Amino acid sequence: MILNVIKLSKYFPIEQGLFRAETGLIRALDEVSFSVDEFSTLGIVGESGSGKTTLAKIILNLIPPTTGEFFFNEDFIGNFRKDVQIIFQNPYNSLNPKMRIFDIIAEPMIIHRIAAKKHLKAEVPELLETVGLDGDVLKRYPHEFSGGQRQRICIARALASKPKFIVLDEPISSLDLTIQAKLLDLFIELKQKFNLTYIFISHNLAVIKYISDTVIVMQNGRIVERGKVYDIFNRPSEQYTKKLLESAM
Amino acid sequence: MQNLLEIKNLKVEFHLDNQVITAVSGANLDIKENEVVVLAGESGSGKTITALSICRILPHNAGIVSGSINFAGREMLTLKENELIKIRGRDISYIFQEPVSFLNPVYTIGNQIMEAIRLHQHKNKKEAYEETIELLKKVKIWEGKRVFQSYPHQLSGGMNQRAFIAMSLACQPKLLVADEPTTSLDVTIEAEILELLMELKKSLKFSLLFITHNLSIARKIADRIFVMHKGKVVEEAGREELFKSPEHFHTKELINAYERIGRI
Repeated sequence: MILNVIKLSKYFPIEQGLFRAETGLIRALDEVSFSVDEFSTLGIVGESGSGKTTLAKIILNLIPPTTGEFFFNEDFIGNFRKDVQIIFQNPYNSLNPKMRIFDIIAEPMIIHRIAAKKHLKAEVPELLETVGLDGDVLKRYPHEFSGGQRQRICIARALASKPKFIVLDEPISSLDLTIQAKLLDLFIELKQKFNLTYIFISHNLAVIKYISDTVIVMQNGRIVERGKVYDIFNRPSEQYTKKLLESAM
Repeated sequence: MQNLLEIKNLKVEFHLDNQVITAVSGANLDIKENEVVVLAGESGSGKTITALSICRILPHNAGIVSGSINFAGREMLTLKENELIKIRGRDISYIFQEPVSFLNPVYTIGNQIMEAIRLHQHKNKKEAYEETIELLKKVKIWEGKRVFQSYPHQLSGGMNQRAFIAMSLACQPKLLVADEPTTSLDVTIEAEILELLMELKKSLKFSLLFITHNLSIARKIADRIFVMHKGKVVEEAGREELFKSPEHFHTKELINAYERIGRI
């Protein structure tokens, strides 16, 4: 087990009126527990507002939970910010528009002392090649690339610190279906190559089925069903899962 | 059956600072009355530009260079602006991917639907109000009075899209152009909106031009499918035929992606 999540909850207050009086709570996450095995892919599926992204943010230590706890296995995750990375949905606003591609990829390598400065010139193009980009992109800026190419740059950046665990939050949802298929293959290839563990968040059931080993179905901040990918897709037990599957047929 | 719309050899160019980019180069497409045609292709293939050309509502730096667009026996490309205004929104209407960015944020939903009715059908306020509530019922918005008074930001994405559909159908168009109307919605909402569109098509009898990059939608609703690639229509076929024996490599790519991740 690489990650263990125990009864994680996150409440956001609803504030109203002049003095921002709290009039209620939104339960974005409600006592969510699960674990992730090393070298596996956990798929999290649910509609917008089901709490998928809130969960990702908490696991990444970007926001604190209201109650509950989670542990990373210290045998695998030593340096948290180096070993745990994220790839966001929108490649258009997750790359610094003022930085060249070379610097975007080199920065994490320098910070986490992955490569000595004199070796960067060789390491950066090599990494870009593994995600399917030519070496001649180094001096260009993010705006010169298409959505699919930008997401490849984000993948390279995430891989630059040699992570063990990557959270992918709807990483292909904003792209064309043909590009989505190509990137999915890339994710699977990279996982094997670098011995990675994934949490893959998506609202697209077909994508979840394609990439996951185990699946969690979320609705209104709760886990409504969980299981091996085959079981969820072939014999779902919950009404909500059945409804989702029907919509995606 | 007669062709309601016929696009022949359409060519559209964009004028940027110091270069000309051809967005559409020789698109051919036709739609019969009461037919559902899906225009499929990747982003940048020219689908949206082709669709916007029909009513000549292209961005300012784009121009139609050549070709012809015949709608119900009239040549749209030579029609005068004052004639076009009467067709836009009445005989041909559009729905888009993000309804919120096409709805006016400072007017209520009801006011925006009423505007279309009053403009094209010359009805008074009271008649228009009643018709709006009727329309909202048709798109299965049951709390018509509340939604009438709501502003776009107060409603969910699916609700806004329903309201937008109500507005676009207010004048009983002959052709509805739907440009990725479900792409930003959840799968369950997408299924509902598609079902709604097909029901409305049956009762109100219009032709539907549906634009998408996702062949799973085409599989569900299309009578015929046109595939666009790099500004050209590269393949045209009936639904079954296209999936059974695709010819162009890009069609095969689209089908391949669909079979892997477009459906379960």
